[in-house]
Parts: sequence; C-alpha cells; structure tokens
Amino acid sequence: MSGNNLLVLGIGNDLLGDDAVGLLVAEALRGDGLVVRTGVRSGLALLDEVVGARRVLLVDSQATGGQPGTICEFSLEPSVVRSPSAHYVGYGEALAIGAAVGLEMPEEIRVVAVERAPEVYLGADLSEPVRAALPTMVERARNVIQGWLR
Amino acid sequence: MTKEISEAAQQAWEAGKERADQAYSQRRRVVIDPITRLEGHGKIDIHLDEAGEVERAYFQVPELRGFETFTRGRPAEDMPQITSRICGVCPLAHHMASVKALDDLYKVEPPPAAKKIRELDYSLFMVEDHALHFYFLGGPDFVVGPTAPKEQRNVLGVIAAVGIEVGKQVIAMRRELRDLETYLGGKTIHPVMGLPGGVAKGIAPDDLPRFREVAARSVEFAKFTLDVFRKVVLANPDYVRLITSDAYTHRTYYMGMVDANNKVNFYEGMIRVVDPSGREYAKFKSQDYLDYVAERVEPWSYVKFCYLKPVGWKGFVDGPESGVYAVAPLARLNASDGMATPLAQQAYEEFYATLGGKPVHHTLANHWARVIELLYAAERLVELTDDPEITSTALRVLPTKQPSVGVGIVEAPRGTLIHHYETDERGIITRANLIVATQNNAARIAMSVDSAAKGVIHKGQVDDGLLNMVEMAFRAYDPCHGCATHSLPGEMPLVASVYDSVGELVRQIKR
Repeated sequence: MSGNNLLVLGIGNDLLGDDAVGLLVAEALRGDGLVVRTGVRSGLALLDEVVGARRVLLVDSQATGGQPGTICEFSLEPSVVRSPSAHYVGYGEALAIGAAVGLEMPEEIRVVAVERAPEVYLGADLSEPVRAALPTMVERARNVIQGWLR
Repeated sequence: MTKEISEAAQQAWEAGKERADQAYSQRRRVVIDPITRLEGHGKIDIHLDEAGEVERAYFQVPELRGFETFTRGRPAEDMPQITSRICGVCPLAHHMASVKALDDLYKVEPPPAAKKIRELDYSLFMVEDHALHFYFLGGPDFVVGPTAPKEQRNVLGVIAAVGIEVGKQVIAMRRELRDLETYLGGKTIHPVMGLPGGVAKGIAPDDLPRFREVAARSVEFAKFTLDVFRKVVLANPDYVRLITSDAYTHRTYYMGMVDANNKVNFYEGMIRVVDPSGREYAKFKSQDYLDYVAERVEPWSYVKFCYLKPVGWKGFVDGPESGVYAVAPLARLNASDGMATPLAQQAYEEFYATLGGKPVHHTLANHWARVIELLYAAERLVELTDDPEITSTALRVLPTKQPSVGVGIVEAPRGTLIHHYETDERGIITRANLIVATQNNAARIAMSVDSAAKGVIHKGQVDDGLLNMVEMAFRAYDPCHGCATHSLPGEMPLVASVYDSVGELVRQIKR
C-alpha cells in the first residue's frame, strides 16, 4: 500500500481528553498495513509530515463550537486566512507556504475530524459523545482509504 | 475552511453571545460563561460609554486547566516528559524548565558539557521559533506592512515581499534546525534529552561538523533577517511612527533572565527586573520567585494576571506605582545591560539609539527585539559548537539527595517560564505550579488591547481596520492561546464584539 504513497496522519494530544481522538483513530488503522504517523505539533510541522506523500488522510479533533461527537469530513486546501493564535500558522497557511516555496505537496489531504467537548482538561478521558463516535470515525477513515485504493 | 464549519461556529457563537448579553445587561459587567467559550477563537469584547468612546476592551485567552490535579501523585522524573507534551508549540521550553526544576529538586549540578548541550539544543529552538515568528506570524503585520491592502497581509504576502528564494531559505533553515533538535532530543515532538543532573545523549565528534555548519548558516540567516527588518521597517517612517505611537506604549516594569554580566540569557542566570525608568528594581534567584511574582484573577478572564508582589496590584495601569510587568523579547532587552555576543550587541545598541534610549516602552518594538535575539541565539550556537567541551562524554551527575522543592526557570521565546514542583521524600509530586510567559504578560496584553481600541474607536465609529490595529497589539507579545494549539481548525476567525453603553451589541467584526 505504501506504493500508493498514502499516509495516515493522526494529530492530537493524549493528555488532553478528546484531543487524543486523532491518535486513537490513527492507531486503529495501523493494523491495516498503512503508513501511519502521529504527532502533536501544530503549524509548519504539518509540512514535515506530509511532504512527499501523494495522499494524506488527516485524523484530528476540532473545536468549532458544534455538537460534540459530530464527525466532519473535508479536503484541506491552502489558505491565507491567518491563524487566531500568534503562536503558529494554521494548516491552510502551512500548505500555502509549502506550495509557494515549491515543496512536493500532496495531491489531496482529506480530513476526518470529530467535534470535541468544549472544555479541555489536562488528564481528562474522552468525553462520552466522542467515545461513542470513535467506531464511526474509524469506519469513515477506512472508507476514505478504500476510495483511494479502488 | 469549509462553510459547514464556519456556520456551526457562527451559530454557537451567536448562542453564546446571547447568553453573555443577558448576563451583561443584568449585572452590567462581562461574565464569560465557560459553556459559551469557543476554543480557538481570539475573542475581544469592547464596551463603549454614552459618548461612544471606549470604556474598556477585553482580550480573552483560553487557559489550560487541570495541571495541578493531573501532576499530583506522579514521579517528579516524569515531569519533563509530561510538561513537554502539554504544548504543541514550545515543548522544548517546558522540557528545559522542567529538567532545571529537577536539578534543583535533587540539588544536583549537571556537568559543564551537559549544560552546554542543553543550551545548544535550546539555542537551535530559539533560532527556529524566532525566525518562524518574524516571517510568518508577525510578518503579515510587519514585513507586508500595516497599511498594505488586507488581501496581502498574509503568509503569501510575506513571501511575495521577501522573495521566493528567501521563503525557501526560511523553510530549509527551519528543517535543518529541527533535524538537529531531533538528534539531541531523541524526538522533536517530545524531547527526552534532559535528565536531572545532566542529559541522556551527547554529540559524537563525527557529527559536530554538521552542527557547526548549521550554526554558521544560522548567523548568516539572522544577519540577513536583521537586514530585512532594517530595509522594510526602519526605512519606512510610517512604521517607525506606528511603533512609537502612544496606543502601543506602556511604561511598565520589565523582567528577563541575565547572566553574571547582566547580559540576556535564555537558559541560565538570575531573574532581573527593571523599573519603568530602566533602573534595576530586583534581581533574584529562581527559587525566590514567589517573593516577587503574585497572581490575581479577574471576573472576565480565565487567565491569572501576574504582578510584582512588592509593588502591588493597582489595576491595569502603567507607571512605577503599578506592579504590572512584561516579559518576552523587548522586556528581556530592557531588563539586561546588553547581549553576550558581538553582532547582537551591535544590534542592541542600534535598537536603543534609534528608539531613544533605555528602556523602550513600545510594544511593537518586540518584533525588532526578537530579531536581535535571533542573532544572539545564532551566534551562541557558533560559540557552543566551537567549545572544546561540547563533545565530552561526561554528561551526568547522578542525583543522591532527598527531594523536597525544585524551581526551574528558562526564557521561552514568549518570555519567562516558571516550573515549580514540591514532592514527598520519594520524589512524588505533591504540588506543582506553572507560570507561562503569557500569564506574566497578561496584564500588559490587556492594557495594549484596551489602548489600541481606544486609539482607533471614537464617537462610536468602528471600522474594519480596528481588528488589524488591535490584533497587532497582541500579536507582538506572541501570546499563548491555550495548549491544545494543534486542534482544527487552525484558522478560526478572530471576533471583536462592540457593545454600547447599555450593553447592546452594536457591531461584530470577524476575520
């Protein structure tokens, strides 16, 4: 499968409750014989992971204020909208920078993300809605990969 | 990002606003309901008086919670790994502060080579982080220009302004630094290099040339970056006027770590505080920080506001009577007598000569100060890689003393970072306190946002330029937006809500 140059990238922090969900989904896919990486770093670190891969499945949590447990799927596109933080560039910005300076960017980065509970506590477990969404997330992530392999 | 996300965010935002509005009109003060808080939002609330002038502007920052509870009962040795995992942005700063707290906890002095390797690793990180900030985080404000059209004020605008070749160089430099951090840290994400009393891994003599090459390139890169700053910013009188304008000026105390000669140091030294006239107010050891730093809470924010304990809290005001102080690059330069390396020292002198002497109170000068520190960190890399001891294999002194209390302080890119642990006689954490740079800066950030809003809003007239001006005020500090910083989406809008004198929402500006 690595011949297809597919990468599964789980982003999250296993110390921060629902934030760990991206890592858990990625680990679940490891058994499928895919190239799986996990990470916690934000911003330009995305480039370290995705450069050279043809297709990337990114699994993550998100905090948009929606219903916790809601799963969202979309393609990540380069963007110049600035990150709300002064600390790190957003995913879209990282992709825009990578493309602008001529790095070998993936053809597609597909995101499967689940809305996490609004409160984040260090050392917390997954919230109930996110735990309940976990099997569906894994299934949807597998569907994306299956679609690519077809 | 997708329409779906922004609509969901908008709905949640409106619902939260409604609840906040109700609370406000009942009590005529802002109450932030935790349920309505949106992670990832930069949130600014601006309250106008009857004449339409700004009564008060608030900048909200989400905060990491649960640290105390989570760490209690864990072995102290786990702390460098745990704390480096709480933040996706500066894991090495936490790792280093934590390892130093363990040195102190076990009263063990690492061998000289171990300290140098730690400082080398830390300097790699500072070069990487400061460069990233200058080009891609502050760059859209500064390199592109505060008066440039909105469409250009972004990362691609920066690359267009400095040229694609420079853009490539920034990315390549970052990669090289990152690879060496990985070499020393075991892994970049969660470094495992530091141990109480030393480090886990040294530098093999065969690998040293690579470190030296990167160090030399870092200096050239930093010199070039300083040149970009001179050409783009200093050559433009509008910029200089903006930097020195009243809206971005606060006469506060400044704090930073200094070496034995009162020169800026990121890794080790005493903490020095200067008063608003630039005179030394205090100089203390890490272990004594509680004699100088106190924290207070405000009803409208989760962030604890630090102030100088002996001076006392007088509210969000500047001047020598107010305990408000600042950390981060400008504060470090103000709190020191100079830089320990020659080129950075020259740049330091030029900085104060241009801005009218010490101390400089202009918040936006942080961007310039950051480039001077970038040069220092790069020069320090050269010094450390040329040090004959850097390939030594004497890397650790084993701790033997019984632990009780340990405090470790480093200068994170964003300012003074304090780790404080208390343990039982087996080294199990009984209490842990963490003061991050943003807490140290929180009061001054609040003041900057408030005065920037006051500078641009008059007679109820609010325009879209407001966000840029207010944003520039807080971006200069590089504040922390909580620690789950890698969460999607990386690009939620910044929202400014303007309320009239009876608490009605009159305008909401989003980016």
